[in-house]
Amino acid sequence: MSALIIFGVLLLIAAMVVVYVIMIYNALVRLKNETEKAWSNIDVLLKQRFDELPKLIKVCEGYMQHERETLEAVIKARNMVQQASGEKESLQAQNFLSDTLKSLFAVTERYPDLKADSIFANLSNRISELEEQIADRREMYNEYINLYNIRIAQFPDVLIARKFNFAPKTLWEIDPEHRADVEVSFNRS
Amino acid sequence: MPPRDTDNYLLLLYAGNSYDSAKLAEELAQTGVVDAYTLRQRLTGSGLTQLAKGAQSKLQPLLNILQRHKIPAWLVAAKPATIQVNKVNAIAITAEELSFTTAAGVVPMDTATAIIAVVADISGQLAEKQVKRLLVRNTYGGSAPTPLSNAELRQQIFRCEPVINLYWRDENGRVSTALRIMPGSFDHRQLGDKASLSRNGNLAALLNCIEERADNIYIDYHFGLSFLPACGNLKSGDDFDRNHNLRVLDRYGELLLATIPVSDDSRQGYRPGAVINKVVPNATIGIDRGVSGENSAEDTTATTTAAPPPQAEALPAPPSWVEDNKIHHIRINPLKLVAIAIAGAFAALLGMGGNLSELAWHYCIHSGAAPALASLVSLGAALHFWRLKRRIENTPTSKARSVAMGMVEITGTARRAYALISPATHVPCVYYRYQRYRRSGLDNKWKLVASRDSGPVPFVLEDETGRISIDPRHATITTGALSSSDGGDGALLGRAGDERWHEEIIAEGSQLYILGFARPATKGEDKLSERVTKKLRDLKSDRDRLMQYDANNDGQIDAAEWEQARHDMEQQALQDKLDATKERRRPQLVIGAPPQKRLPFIIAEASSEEELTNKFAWYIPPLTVGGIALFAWALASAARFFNL
Repeated sequence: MSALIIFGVLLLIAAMVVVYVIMIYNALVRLKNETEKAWSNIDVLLKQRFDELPKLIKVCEGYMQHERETLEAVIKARNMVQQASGEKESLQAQNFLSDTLKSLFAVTERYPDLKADSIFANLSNRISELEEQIADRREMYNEYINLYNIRIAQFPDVLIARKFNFAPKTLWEIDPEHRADVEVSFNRS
Repeated sequence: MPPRDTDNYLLLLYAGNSYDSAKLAEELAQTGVVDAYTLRQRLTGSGLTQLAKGAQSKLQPLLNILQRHKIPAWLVAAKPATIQVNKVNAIAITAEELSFTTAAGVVPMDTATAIIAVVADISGQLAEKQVKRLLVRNTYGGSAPTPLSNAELRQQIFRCEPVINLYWRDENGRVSTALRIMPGSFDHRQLGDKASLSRNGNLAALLNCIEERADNIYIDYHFGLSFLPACGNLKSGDDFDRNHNLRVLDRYGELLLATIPVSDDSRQGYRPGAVINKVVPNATIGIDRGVSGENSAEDTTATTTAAPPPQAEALPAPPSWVEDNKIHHIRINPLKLVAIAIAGAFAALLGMGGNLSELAWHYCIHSGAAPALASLVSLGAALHFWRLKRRIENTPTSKARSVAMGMVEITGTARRAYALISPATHVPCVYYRYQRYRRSGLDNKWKLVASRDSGPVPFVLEDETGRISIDPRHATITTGALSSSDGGDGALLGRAGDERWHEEIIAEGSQLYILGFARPATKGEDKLSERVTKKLRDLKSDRDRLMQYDANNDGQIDAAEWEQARHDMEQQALQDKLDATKERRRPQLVIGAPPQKRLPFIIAEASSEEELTNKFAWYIPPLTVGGIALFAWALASAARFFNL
């Protein structure tokens, strides 16, 4: 009878191990998908910002005749985002666009009439709001990536991750060149 | 310096069952100064009650309503306290005279002048228990609470820690003498044959002596028995602070004096009830600062501790659909149900005795079926907590301003969206769960006689970036604060501890952890009808605006005029809603239950997610080991049963 009990308990433990493995696998799959969803959640906001930009540039053009370079930089960055292929290139383009927008808003300080324009105020508020949300969601994305990378490196998850080829993912990082302060040209032609 | 317009308190004298507090609260709430739920709670108690605080112009409409209902009420402006209360160190009683000795000198009792006395329990026990009892009875007892008579209150006070404050006033209403008599502070032998071995008994005898000699005396026994933050809150139990409570008593005495008019004829005397139906508008009382004299060194502390809480916002009452969803407020874990069902069936079978229970024992226990089932439940529960723990750990915390649709985790501070107040402890909250027990007369066991909760009242979660609405329907709610009575509520009232209660709340301002599903706010959260109702309520509270619809200038709004007003409010509400939709490009999100039932929806009062996951981590090992042990037992039983 003892042998039967021992055998039964061992069988139960084996079944529990199988269930445990399945659950870990499912949890990793969920986490991997969550990281992709977090990326898509940023995309939603980036798309909204992308759609708002032409309106902002149009309003600014009316007032900022002498800031062609700044405006063109924003347009160029927007086009880079549109043409970006691949995750890394897209990240770089988005970062560049964020920087040019910061430059644009810095330059608008010199144009009181523009700042007083209600359409510009609404658009700039809207874009600032989107920028804040994008920043939050980037943090969120990085948090997901971090959790995922830790999970697939930890025991016992690492065994399942290696078996089923769960590869580590890259964090959203700013390029070294973008860590430096952006120089804004105030040259008037 | 004249008091500022904001330093006003609206006080009323609780008059027992002479008015319907619920109806009166509804009427007062129409003014928009305080919400109906808060008012209803404040219209409960005994003695003087603070109904609201604010500018005189803001409180005047409330006072007008109370006057119309002939409820004694006062609008009082605060000023620094002026009355010095001297402690009595000795007494001298002769056939002709009764005198009190204080540090300032000997004060003979002036029998011709009317006396106002406050007899109070300074321990706070009576106040705490009586207020809780009244609030619970009022809210859930099914009938209005019956206030205790003065004789009953006097009896109860002298069973606790009694103190007597005595005040004499001159013909101008100024207090000429204020004394405090405490138990044991005088030589009891002065009482002659009325002296006893009990300090409280001697104080009661002295009070009798004062009553016999005074021509006119009004004694108040209601100290601490109602909502009166203007005086400060009593500290009882573990927080008991005698000096603090004495300061509160002194403020209460001054407040009482301000509400009792100086009689034209002092011989007419003060009688309980004599002040009813008399209104003293704009009386000035010292309730903002501590009294001078013996407590003056602690005035700063007194000001801090006695500061009334911030005025409640005029929040709307909880929505009507909450009632329909109360039953489903907490998702029941099927594992728990199975465990309860098994335990219940066994208990029932074992309790029945005879052959049936023997058969059940034989086939369920001896065969190993019951241990196998229990093992399954235990292992299932371990699995459930493990998945929950992992889910929480694998979900990063979002910020309120950038929450994306889908499963989200968020932490922040709970803020009320509706006027919800806990029934027993009277705390503004976003959720409460309340249970009342009564001791059975036959077997002396506590039995649950009433149980309810606030239902899924929506609230708001606030973090450093913004706010987001929470729809708590179907959530698993874990509260952090538990309050309970000790079963002695009735003991002081001569009914030997026959009732007790438990209350769990999530108080406003608590730190919450929420794991739920973010989705666009449904139409239900922002119904047009609710907007119209709010607009109509605002219109009714603004008489000038309302009278703009008085087309025939008769000073009344007839049915046709009201219909026109209603139509206009509907149009305005519709326009407001359209404007809001136009401005709001990003859909308003609300966190609620996930569409898939297997996903969790947790609302927990916790400072961090680690607090929760650590709790779950403690459950998992014993459940797993227990499950394996039960499985081994089941195998052994089955082997014996089937002779394997």
